[in-house]
Amino acid sequence: MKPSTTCSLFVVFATLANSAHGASASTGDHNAAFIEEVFTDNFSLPVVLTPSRMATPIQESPSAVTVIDRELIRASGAQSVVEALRLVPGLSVFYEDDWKAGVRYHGPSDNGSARHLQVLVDGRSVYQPGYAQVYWDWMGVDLSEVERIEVVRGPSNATHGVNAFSGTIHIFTRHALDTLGSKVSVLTSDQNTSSLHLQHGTSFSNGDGAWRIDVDLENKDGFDQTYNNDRSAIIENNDGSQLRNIDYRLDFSPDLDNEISLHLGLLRGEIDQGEIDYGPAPPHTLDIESRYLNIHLLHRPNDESSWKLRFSHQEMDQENPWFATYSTGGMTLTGNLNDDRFEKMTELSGQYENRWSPHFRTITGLDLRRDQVRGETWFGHNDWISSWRKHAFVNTEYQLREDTQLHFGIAADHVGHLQRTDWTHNLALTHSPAANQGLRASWGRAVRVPDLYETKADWSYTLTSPSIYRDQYGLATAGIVPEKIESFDLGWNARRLWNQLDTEVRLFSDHATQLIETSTDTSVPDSYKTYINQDWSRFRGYELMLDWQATANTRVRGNYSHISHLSSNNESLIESTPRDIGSLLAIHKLGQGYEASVAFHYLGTFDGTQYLPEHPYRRYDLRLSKRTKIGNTPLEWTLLWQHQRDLTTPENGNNISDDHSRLTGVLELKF
Amino acid sequence: MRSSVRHIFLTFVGLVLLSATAHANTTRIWVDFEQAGALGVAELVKSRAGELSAQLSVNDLTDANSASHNRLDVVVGRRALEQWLQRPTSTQVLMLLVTRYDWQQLAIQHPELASRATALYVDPSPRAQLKLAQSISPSPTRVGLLIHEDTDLLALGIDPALLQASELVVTRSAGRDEEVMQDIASLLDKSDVLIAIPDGRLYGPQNFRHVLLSAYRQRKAVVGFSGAGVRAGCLLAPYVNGEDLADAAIRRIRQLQQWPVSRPMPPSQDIQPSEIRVNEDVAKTLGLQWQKPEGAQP
Repeated sequence: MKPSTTCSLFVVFATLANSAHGASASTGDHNAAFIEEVFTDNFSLPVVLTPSRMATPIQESPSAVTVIDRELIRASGAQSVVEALRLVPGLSVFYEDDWKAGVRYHGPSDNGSARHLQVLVDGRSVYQPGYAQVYWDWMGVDLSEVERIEVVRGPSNATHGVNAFSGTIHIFTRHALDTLGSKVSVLTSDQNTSSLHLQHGTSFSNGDGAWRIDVDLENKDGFDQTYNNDRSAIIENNDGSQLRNIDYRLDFSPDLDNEISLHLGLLRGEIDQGEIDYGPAPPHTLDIESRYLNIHLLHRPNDESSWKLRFSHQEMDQENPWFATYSTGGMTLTGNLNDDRFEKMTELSGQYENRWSPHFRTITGLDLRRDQVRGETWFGHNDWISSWRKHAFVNTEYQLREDTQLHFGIAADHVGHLQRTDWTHNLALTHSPAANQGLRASWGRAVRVPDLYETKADWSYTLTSPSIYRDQYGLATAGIVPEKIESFDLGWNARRLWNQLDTEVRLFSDHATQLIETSTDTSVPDSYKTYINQDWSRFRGYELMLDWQATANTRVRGNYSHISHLSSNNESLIESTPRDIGSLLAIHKLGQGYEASVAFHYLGTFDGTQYLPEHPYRRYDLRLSKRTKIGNTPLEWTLLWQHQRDLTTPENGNNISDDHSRLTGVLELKF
Repeated sequence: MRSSVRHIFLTFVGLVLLSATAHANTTRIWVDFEQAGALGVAELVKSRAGELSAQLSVNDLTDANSASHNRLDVVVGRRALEQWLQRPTSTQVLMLLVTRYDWQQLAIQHPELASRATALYVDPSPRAQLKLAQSISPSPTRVGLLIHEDTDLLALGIDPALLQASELVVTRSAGRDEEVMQDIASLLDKSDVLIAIPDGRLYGPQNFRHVLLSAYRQRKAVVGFSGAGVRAGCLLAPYVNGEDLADAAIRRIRQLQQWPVSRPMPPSQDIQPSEIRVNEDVAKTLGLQWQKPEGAQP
């Protein structure tokens, strides 16, 4: 072969080889180098899950914590955040109206609202300090957006602020990067409830950032019937609701050390109010609008520490005008009234976490918050009332030995509208006798600060025709102080104790004092309408939780709590604490994408009440779902049948369920 | 005189033949000297080879004057192999520091390699990773695996029977950046544990941290493919250290030096890992444990 021919062939081959090289370079030369380096000692892969990023293991937690993850939420068939909370030991769920759910942990509470629970959504408190309420249906959080719910059972002011009195419910919504693509979910039931949920998420910058938008439309018919106030008659109920919600979430993490998260939301709705053919308030509509903004900044200067900064602003407007007709003393009085309420909350909080040594870690923080409330009917005037709150805290964790930790937290809270500072603390000792077990002994004190209504209330209605008639319903008194609670608990938890069984046992003793209730001093005219610190409650009992992965396809989850309650003689306090609360959920994967679950929920009777039914709340749920595909599109359908033993139950207050059974269907498509 | 000339000629031919034979027994280890990791592997192979070391030489592929006339070459790293393929040679080749995913791609791009090349896979097989995932306690009911749409499942040892029996959820991805994250999100939704494979078309330094963080947010473990991955945040992975790789390479070189040129090269092999690396902090925070199955190799 001539050298020139050989050279020509070489050139052709080299050209071909170069072309091949060029093609393979386009598949990711950078990634190829990365892959090679992770197999040698050239560690180009940084530590992603650093100690400061990871949560405290359950067995080392200074408080009793229940985690409800997405899998459990889905299997339970719950269609709202409140319903998912039935899986938490000691929590009771009830409905003052269909649109007004309430949650209590042990009690106490006089009107069913979560006035003694701190409720957070991604760190933002949704507890409305104007009227000591949590509007569960108006939070703007669809259950499908929830990653998990963590419930701290017990007081934790030092970690979660002044309203973490009985406990804290923290709802974590899903990171935008975890919900890419589009989803449509439709729900309908035979009780005239329907909803539509639309979701779309996308990422950018190679996954450094992502955003998601959710739109929810919901229509509920509510309870058909209810007892009147003295339970002398059954009347037609009027508590339907129509809600529309849109929220947006953006997450951006340019590198391992920095994260930014932005949440925006807007909710509007119409709520049916008033009573049909009964009472002074005829059917009318409550218009609500809720808006919020929540911004998180996180910076990790090194593997052992982090800085967090959060700013949030939220507003809630309730416009509730109605035309009253009231008969008294042989006269019929009329007038235009309203129950309008307007609330604003602005908060700036900072937190610094640092592991000073392998044995010592601290979390320190400062919150500054401004609460504002307005409502002519509730305060006697239409001007804004505002209050500043300052909350400072330090939480420490000291590793006494490899298997033993000492936790101490202290907080100072200064409340502007009370002009006082309260100190609270938590102390806990945790010990792990084995790698899969934890023991805990804790002692804590917490306060609940009276809300703006309790301290400034001048609740009255004035009818104007044919003459002026003013009826006072509530009045604040001077000198009202925060409620207090002192709590002791012993806990034991174990994972994989026997054949994949997780267990938790808790013994508790809580003593709440200076509880704010309406006065029972009958010697003073209309005294029952004033708010004073007059009551106390003592709760003792135990809680159990079992989570058993019986087989690869079968899981059983149960919880039970028994509460022995003593209190000052106040009907509303007694009505807030059932003796026994429990639930049992069994989930089984049937194969071929089918999954079935059965659940039983129980809420026991109350002691000594004359108003509430004397039989417990018992509900059976049966759920069947299937995951399949239409072409390449994942689809899931769910049928949920719920059967309630009794139409009137303690958890529904005066409301009467329409039917013993309810059938709900859900269809979900992902793109 | 004529017998002396004949004698000298025969001696000269004999010497030439001897040197050619000796030359043919030398195995060159080719590496891109700028790749520190690959160079380290090459030098480790030579240093641990014992009496074979004299027959091994480490050579820089970027040196344009170097050439190979051997029966057997050893090439370390994919980029090195792509440079090696630019040279005209019919030498048989043993490939080191390559994953089975890269090897599948190379085999498609260079069909001529099929008969004269073999590899020692540096990554664990998905079957081995699946076995590891199933030995996590509490055991996962569904294990997710993301593969590139061009990947042959059977070549990975995953047949329909295994898919059925193990509740392995497999998702194929086109490998485009934003799509990979969406595919991961979808897979994490359907599985309890994720197996991460070292396919550069799916995972890279840009998105691997997002995968680990996304899995952790959902309290799901990732079974990785290297010690570096465990250090970063994977729950556990088979760990092939440099000595494991070097010793396996030496055994293979010894075998291939005796391999008949006329026969196609033997199938590629896995390297037996010396241990399983576990991230104890991740295990603790997720409430998981790994128990080595009885009688099992690491």
